[in-house]
Amino acid sequence: MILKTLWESISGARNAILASLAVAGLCLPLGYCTGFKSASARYAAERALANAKALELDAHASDQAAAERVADAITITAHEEELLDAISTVPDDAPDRVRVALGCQRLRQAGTGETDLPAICRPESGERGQAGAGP
Amino acid sequence: MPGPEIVTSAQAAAAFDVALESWGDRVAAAGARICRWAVRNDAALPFSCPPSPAGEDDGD
Repeated sequence: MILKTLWESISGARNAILASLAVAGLCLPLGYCTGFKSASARYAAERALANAKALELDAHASDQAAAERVADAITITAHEEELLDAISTVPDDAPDRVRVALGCQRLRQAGTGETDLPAICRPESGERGQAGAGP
Repeated sequence: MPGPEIVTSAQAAAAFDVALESWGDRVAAAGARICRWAVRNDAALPFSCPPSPAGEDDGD
């Protein structure tokens, strides 16, 4: 009875209610989509800002590294030339036994075959060759 | 790559030592530069970087 009364009382507004429901049904997805688009745009803007900051930081770091690379190359080359100058002023001589042994081992480690080694490195070439031979 | 003269000439042997030492210096300098570059890019490293030879050290 109560329901019937209620239905009769709202039957006049039925069309308005149906229209409201239809409008709400359209607006809900539209609102969701608008909100999603807004969040996406904000995220894209934040990401673009972070990328720009990272690129600026990287550019500064790379510029400084490039300057350091030049300074390092100049310093190391200068040191190398100083060392070479220091040994070039002394008359050359045959290396001592320790240096020969070290040199022979370096040649072996660099892949030089036993037959291609200088005679001084071979065991049969005498005492110095023994010093230069591997274990 | 060493040449066979390193066992016959003291100067050649010393020159090879110099070349090795310089190579090591270049590698070490490159590593230090990379370390400072990473720190300038906000990398959190569990060690400090060697200072720049130029003295502009913000790599720690």
